[in-house]
Amino acid sequence: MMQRTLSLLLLVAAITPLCAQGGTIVIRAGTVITVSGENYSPGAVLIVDGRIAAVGKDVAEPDKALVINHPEGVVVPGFVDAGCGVGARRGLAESQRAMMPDLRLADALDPSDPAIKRQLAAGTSTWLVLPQDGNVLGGRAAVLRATATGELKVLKSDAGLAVCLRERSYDREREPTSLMGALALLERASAPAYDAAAAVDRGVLVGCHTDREVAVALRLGARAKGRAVLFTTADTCDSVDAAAKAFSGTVFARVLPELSDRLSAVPARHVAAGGVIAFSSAAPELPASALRLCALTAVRGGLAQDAALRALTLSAAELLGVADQVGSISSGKLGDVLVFSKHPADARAQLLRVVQGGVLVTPHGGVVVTPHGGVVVAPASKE
Amino acid sequence: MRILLLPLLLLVFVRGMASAQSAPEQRLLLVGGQVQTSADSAPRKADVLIVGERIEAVGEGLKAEGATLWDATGLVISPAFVDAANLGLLDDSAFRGGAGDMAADMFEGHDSLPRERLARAGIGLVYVDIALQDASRGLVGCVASTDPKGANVTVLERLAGLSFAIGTRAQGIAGRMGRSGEVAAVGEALSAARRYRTSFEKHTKDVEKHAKDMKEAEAKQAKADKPDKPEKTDKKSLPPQKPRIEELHETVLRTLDHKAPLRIEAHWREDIEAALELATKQGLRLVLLGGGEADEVADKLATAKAVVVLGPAQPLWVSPLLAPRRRNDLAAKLDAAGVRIAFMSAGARGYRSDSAPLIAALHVAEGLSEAAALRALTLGAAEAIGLGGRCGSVEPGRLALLQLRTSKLSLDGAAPQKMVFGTSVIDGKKS
Repeated sequence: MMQRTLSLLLLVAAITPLCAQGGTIVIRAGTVITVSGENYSPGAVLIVDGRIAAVGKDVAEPDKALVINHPEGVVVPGFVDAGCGVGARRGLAESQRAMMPDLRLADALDPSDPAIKRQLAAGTSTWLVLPQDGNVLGGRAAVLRATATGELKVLKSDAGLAVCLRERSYDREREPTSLMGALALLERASAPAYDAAAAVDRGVLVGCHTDREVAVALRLGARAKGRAVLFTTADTCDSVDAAAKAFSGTVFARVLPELSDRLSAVPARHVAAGGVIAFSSAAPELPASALRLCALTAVRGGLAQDAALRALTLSAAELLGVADQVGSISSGKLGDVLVFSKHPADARAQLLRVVQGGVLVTPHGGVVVTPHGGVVVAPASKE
Repeated sequence: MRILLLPLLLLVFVRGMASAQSAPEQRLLLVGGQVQTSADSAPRKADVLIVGERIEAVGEGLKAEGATLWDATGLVISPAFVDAANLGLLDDSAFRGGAGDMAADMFEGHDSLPRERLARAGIGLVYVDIALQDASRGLVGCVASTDPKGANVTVLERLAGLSFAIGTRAQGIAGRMGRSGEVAAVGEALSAARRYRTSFEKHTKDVEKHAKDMKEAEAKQAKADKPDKPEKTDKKSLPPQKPRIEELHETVLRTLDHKAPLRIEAHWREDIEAALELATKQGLRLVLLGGGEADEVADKLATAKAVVVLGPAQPLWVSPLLAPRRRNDLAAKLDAAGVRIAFMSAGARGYRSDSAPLIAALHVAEGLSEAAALRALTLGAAEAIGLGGRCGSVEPGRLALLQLRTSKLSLDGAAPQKMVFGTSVIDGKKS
């Protein structure tokens, strides 16, 4: 028994360095939804060394490639979670000062956060980690991802300046103490930092939870000249048209099955108004599966299934400024793909396979590593 | 001639009275559609005759004089879904019951269920439960129709079942007594009802005996031929006080008679085993609510023919009291082990009260077959609410609670085209 364990450990040790690059995987399925281009039925995806090498009705099958067949399955890109706290558990708000433009989330990561593996198990390949809501200017957000074994990686360390206009950012024993005060601070004291952030790609990430806050945020959106993303909930239902025009996109959190029909319809209304939408899981406060649940709720509210999938993948990647790396199945992008039993915007769809950076992950945490034909089962992670 | 006319007029009057007393029940004939008898069966061409609130006949080419015809061409007639525990418009925190509380008191005569929304989700019947707080003495649930017609909720079964809690939520409340105390309290509630029944039967016999004695005394007095003399009041001749049946006791008695389910909320393995043992000792079938670790005792649950009522596969918020070693594929495991399952929206924080079909679909996403999920939403739920054999399928004698869809029963999230409640057909789709 001990000998077997030892040889397994040696095998893992020998192969693990290769895992980082990923192996060669061919995934054949009933349907491949690329999101960015043509869909294929049936279809196949070839991933070599962690990146997508080819996609089409059929692909060449290199020697020693791991071939995964799901004749009834639907292959889609790995999900992109446009807002959560995974990978940065504590100390993400500075309590004494309202304006902290220089804080960088990428400097305060927690690679031991157990929620990282849960993201993988839910099919989330990449996510934005935001500062907590305690500051008007909360610092620089970061785009993170994990390797198939749960190792935390930074995909983009400066993914935008987080602005929070929610009450908890100014309802404190320090300035500002009002929404107007927060806006004045933003417009004066931090103008250079703010404008510098607005100048970079997807520069300003504005958090609001009420229509009143959105009304104030519209000024910031205009000032950022289309480089601001609104982070909100479906409660801001009266601001749909204005927000769709003023912001480059809107990220919705907590679009959960508890919402009324009217609020469930808000994401669909945003899309109808020409807006770009994405979803936030709010993990680890909520489970990682809340991301897909947001999309399912939006579908119940009238959003088309393909639009919901786009919000879960390419639109989110675009809003985070990482669409050149993730968000769709196209040659050159990272090999993050999911195999579902049905369209993932159907509540019944079972997540059958997760491939992260070209490495196969089991849906419930156990990792199967497949570098160039070898297969190793690593310890399963706990849900 | 007058002598002949009088009996004739009397006859007409009496017949008129009789027909007024028992007005013919309304009849509805659904024609031209296909019938999916239950979640497991394939649709076949058949008509459905409904009389009053029940299905009278299912078959091809049915004729029914005086029935309203409704053209179901292109539609599949299938059983409506049943939510095995629902809190209505009141959330978990707003609706906490005390021992002996009656759900019906809070729902009957009120517009307390989102009936239109429930009907649009294909749900025809809900078991209205009360969030358990002081639940060791039992709370009385009711079964309500989601028929959107009328101002208020229609309660079909007022004393539908008893709910208790062992461990979990009950133990989180200050002053609770712990698992053994909870089990003892449930057992005592059932034993007390048994004693009550004995006492009630004795009282009933006493009343009958007293009535007989009084009759005999009157006969004696008539023989004595002393009508003018007023009878002396004799305290002993007063009838014994008629025993009053409290609704809680009546429900416990219905439970003991297998007419209403014994529902116990338990999540941890040890609590589930305690609930199962209690039900087995009392000779009752257990309906287990929650059952987070039920897969660990799946064989025992299957043997005892218990029904496990499940919330969401991946709960959004779970209190530490309710967070045992729960698996997302719990429903799939229980089904594979032969345990009967049903679904509930009660206690599913983050989900609306019409979410039972969505909750079922999310269990399908975790490995449960869709057929099993549909069975759980119909026949499984019927058993869980004590209406096994009375709803959950399209068969003669069952309650006419139906959904009409363009295809066979499914969890695709689409609203049914129509819902049928007795003889009324209403729009399932949003207007």
